[in-house]
Amino acid sequence: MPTEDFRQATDELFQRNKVETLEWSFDFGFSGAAAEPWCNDLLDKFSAADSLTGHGVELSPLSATFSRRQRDWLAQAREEFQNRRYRHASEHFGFSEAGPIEKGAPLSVPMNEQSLHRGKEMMKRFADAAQCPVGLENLAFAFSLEDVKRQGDFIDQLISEVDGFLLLDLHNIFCQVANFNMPELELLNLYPLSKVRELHLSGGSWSRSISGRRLAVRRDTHDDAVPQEVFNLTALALKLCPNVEFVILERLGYTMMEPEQQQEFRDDFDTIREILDHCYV
Amino acid sequence: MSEDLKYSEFQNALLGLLASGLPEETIIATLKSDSRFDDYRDYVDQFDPDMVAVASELMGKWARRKVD
Repeated sequence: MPTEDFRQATDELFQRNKVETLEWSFDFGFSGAAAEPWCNDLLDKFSAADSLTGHGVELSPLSATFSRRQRDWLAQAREEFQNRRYRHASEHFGFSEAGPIEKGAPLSVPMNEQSLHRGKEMMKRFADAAQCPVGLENLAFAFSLEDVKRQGDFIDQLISEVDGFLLLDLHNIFCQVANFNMPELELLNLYPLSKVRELHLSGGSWSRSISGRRLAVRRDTHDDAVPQEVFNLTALALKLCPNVEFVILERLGYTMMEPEQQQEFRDDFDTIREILDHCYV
Repeated sequence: MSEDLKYSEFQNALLGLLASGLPEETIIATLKSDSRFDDYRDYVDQFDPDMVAVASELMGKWARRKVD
């Protein structure tokens, strides 16, 4: 995130050359926002070293209609990927645009013939614009347990259309384990694990259960330290996914305003390094 | 109505309702009672009210309407 608290939290990691890969939300500037010079310097440095990955947020790949906004997004993505070298590009499973709403949060869709066809068409457009491998990230949100159980196979069908990859977000897996009481190994095995090329780790938060069906609802808010459960999932996923190339620690901007939170972020980074060293000895 | 149009109409209605601020039970009941979405009734039947409430909150926070 191109925010001052993120810069403060990560400066030491970059200075000590601990960071091997950088991921950029490449559609950050599509609405006119400009990244700070320090941010662009980092992007250029990692791009030149062939260590930059791209992560889109606003494509809405499973929207029922192909909108003018999506067309513009793809044109801007094409330009970005021509100007800066990326190892690969990913987007979120789900839809966030329909009818009068042009931007929302990614939500799950009815997984049927219509959504599969729309999704495959959009993945082909995405791959054509990026001109590099493209993939999808599993979604934390699900309307139901059935959504949870079907998402892995549906993503597999979508990415197979473009010989793409799965970005496995382990906090999103944790959300579904917690919210739907699904055993973690059973859930992971519903995904095409051989196609996992990247892992995401982050923290989140709990909110009140309106229905009383559960103690609380786990949310993918990216505003706290990585919980131990996600570190445990990381070790498990690294054993199950033989083709992981990138592991990314995520955090929302303006959520590390205190020095203690910034240190916590660096501690999480070091913990991930230890897990990787342990798994790949 | 074609299957593609049903899918599109369902998405429009779902996002619109989630952005409306209506209670989660009202959102679910509205989708189930709309005859245009008979094919999606089984899907909506499975909706977890907690998750609809989460989606509604997310849409309230992030939704941006198109400007023609």
